[in-house]
Amino acid sequence: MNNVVAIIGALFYLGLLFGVAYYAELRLKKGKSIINSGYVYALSLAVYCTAWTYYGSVGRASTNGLEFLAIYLGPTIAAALFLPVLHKIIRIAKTQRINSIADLISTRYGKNFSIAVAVTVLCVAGIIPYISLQLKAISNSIHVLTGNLQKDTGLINFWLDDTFYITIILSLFIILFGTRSVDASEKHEGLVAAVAFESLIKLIAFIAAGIFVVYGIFNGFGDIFSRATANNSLKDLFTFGNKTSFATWFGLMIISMLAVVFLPRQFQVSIVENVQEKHLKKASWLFPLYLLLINIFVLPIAMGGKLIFADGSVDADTFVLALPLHYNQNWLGLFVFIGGFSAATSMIIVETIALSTMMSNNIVMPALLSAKNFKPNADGGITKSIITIRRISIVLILVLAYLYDKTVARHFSLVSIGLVSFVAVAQFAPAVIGGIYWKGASKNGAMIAICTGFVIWFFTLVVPSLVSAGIISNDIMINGLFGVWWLKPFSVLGIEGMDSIVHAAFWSLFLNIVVFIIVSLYSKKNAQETFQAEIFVDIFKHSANDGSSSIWKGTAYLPDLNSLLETFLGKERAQKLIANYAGRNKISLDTKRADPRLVTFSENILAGIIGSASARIMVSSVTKEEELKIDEVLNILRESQQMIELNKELRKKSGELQKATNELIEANEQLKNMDKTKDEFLYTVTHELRTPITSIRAMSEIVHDNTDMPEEQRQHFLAGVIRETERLSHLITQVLNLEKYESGRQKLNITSVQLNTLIKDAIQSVNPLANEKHIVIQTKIPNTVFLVQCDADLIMQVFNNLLSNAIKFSPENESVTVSVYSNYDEIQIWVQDKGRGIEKGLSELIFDKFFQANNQTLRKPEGSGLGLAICKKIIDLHEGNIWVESEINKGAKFVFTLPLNR
Amino acid sequence: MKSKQQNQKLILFSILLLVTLSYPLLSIGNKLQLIFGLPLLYFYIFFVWVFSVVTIGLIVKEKHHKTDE
Repeated sequence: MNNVVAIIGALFYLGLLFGVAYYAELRLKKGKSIINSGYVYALSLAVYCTAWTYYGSVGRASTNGLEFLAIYLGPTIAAALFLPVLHKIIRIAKTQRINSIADLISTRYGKNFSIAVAVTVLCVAGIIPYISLQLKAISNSIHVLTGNLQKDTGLINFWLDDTFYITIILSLFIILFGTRSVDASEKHEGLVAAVAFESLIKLIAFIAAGIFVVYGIFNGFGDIFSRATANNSLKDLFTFGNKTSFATWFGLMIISMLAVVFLPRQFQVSIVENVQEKHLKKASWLFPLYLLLINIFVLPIAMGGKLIFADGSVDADTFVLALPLHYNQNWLGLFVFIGGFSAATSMIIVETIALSTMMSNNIVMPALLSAKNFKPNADGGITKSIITIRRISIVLILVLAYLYDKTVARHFSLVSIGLVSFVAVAQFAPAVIGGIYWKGASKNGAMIAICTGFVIWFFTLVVPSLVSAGIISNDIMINGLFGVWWLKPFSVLGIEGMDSIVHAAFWSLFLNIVVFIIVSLYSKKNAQETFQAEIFVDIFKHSANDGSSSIWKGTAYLPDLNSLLETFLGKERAQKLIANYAGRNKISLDTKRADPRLVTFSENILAGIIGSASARIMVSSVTKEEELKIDEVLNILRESQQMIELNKELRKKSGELQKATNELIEANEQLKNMDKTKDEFLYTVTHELRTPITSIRAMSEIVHDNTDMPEEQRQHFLAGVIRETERLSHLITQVLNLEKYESGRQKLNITSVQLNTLIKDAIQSVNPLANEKHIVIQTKIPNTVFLVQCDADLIMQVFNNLLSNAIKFSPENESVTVSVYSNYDEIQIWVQDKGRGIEKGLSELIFDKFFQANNQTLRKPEGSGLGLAICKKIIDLHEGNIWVESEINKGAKFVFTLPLNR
Repeated sequence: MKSKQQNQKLILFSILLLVTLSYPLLSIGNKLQLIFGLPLLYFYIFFVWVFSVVTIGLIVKEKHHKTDE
């Protein structure tokens, strides 16, 4: 295929990427983010699969069999840990505005500047070979596609080399693409969208190639595998034993498990670019699914390539591209090339942006800012310098990668270069994992551990590559460093027979962890470190009160802070941020002196732009900070923790108080009601007393004034006086009785009473009254003997009242019926009349005191109006019930019950 | 919000996965033999892989009472 087609294809593809990024940013401006989705997030994580996956896996599979799968199974296991572990790091990064792995580690260990530098150097040293691998993969794939197997030109004639032009084009692309916003902790909407798009392209392209090989060239999986297993040179690749040991497999799984979290590009997409924490959920099964899909066809393609190019004329690394081309599938070949190009570019783009942020924030900016003659020009002027620094960093990284490719890599097998980078970034695992779960982890521990790991990594993996590039003499490999036998890069302490990668990973991580723990245990920590340790380990407790606690102590002036923020953000944005924050936390901006929280806030904002270490330098340059002692820090933390608890307690207390208040209001209402009732009662009683007294007085006066009154008439009036006096004393007795029952002073004199006899006696006593109105009292009493435990006098009184009421309200010549029913635990007594009956709504009210008197329109007043109230009290005292069943003009039935088994 | 129980399940599962994919369990598949036309080891690994994708998916989809860490 023509060279021009390949280059046009690649440029067209880069243009398409721009389109995707532009579209994503356009959508964001309309408020519809396309990266705010679990699917896009999972796809962006697939930046893990680089050109090394795309081309290198097939190469590795054709020499080492299934071993390459460990590199994708490790991340699968890590995906199960996304929610438990990565979630915590994401929360920390969001609250602390962290924008790179170096930033994370330095922020954890007291915003330390030197540790950020160490991490950055290790990252750059570890990752640049990996980037150069991608550059090489692109140029190799162009050569395969065009069939123009160019000789390696070396560094001298670089203008003849297409890798050089690829490097330049990619540098320009990344500069245009990734350095538009100055705030590195802001989301790169376009970048993530483009990376997710690239992940889709490479997956589809690789699967297309796989399907072509398996079903186009061969007759399915069974065909390839049965032919390969029958082949003597290939059959060993299907089992472990010869080339791959279980130990290597296990080691690779662990390394890649760490790499998927700690590689700068993975950190960038999974943590810095994470939009919502909940996307982790979807990613934790979609990401392994992606890895599974892209790996299904690797072994079949490797086997197919081995079977078809049996003479070894084609590099196994390029099988995926060479196979379609061999069968003249040029368009498929171009598509596969674009897939590989997308795998390489996505890695280069994200990795370079992540590294350039780290370099500018952690190395260049601190140096620049702490320079004595550095004077930032106000109003956002410095943002230009930051962006320039990032752009220079990008070019520098790519140039370094190009140089590495031309000097070291061309002498050295590229297959393991990716793994060399994995081992490098795995050195951060103890410091990060220890940092977020162990408060005792100290800055010194982390610093020395990372350096130890770095030195061992360099010695066991980089030195050998320099030896094979001819830069260092071979002597060190045979006789050891300084001629010491136990310092040979591939067999430290004389341990032989291990895969060099696993050997390096074992020694570096082992010593890294040991040093980390021991130094942490034996080193003192300063206040800032202690504070950050608290925040990191208990992030889920502290992120709730983000911004309200500050451990800053000292003097700072608002104008200084303002002008500092203005330097980086521009006047308008800085003032808006400060005003918003002050409003949210109720901080007054009128005083000249700045609130400590504002200082912390400003530092936080700056950290998002220039990293936490630089931000700290900047803020301390405009403020006068006092050294805090460790116990002061702990106090502040404890206080803010206590404040939260106190707040909770307070809320609970005020809720309880509210409840108590309500209860009190209710009780007060009841008391008022009772008071009113009492008043009414008193009023009614006196009113009731006055009626007979008035009659008595009137009649007595008549008798007194008319001495010549006939004897018969006088007798009549005197009888009236006697009757009224009786009524008066009856009323008074009743009032006194009621009072007695209500106050509880009445004691029941309980005896066994024969109910039949009691009823007979009661009827006897009201008989005269009944006879007057010619009323017959009937009884319906079963023949058994009812023995009831009760106060005979009181129950007698109830009968008396009910019967006399019944007689009173019955028309003449009618009958009143008394009936008794019993069930096993209570006895019911009915007293029925055939009077006017009682309205339904009143059936409860009539048992109130003076109900009759208060409602005189209903019935003519007869009796005191206390009778039923007294009955109810007495029955209540006996723990029985009393009620009335009645309808207007159908008579009334008064029922009361007495419990039987007292 | 995440739940403690869900995290414990995921951590347990990751350990199980690591064991399933390591010696000695992995040696179950370490024979030169075809099953459904696929090499036994290849079949074993991809089977565990599919199983893990499904299991992680099921665990993270579970609804829990909100018990914040």
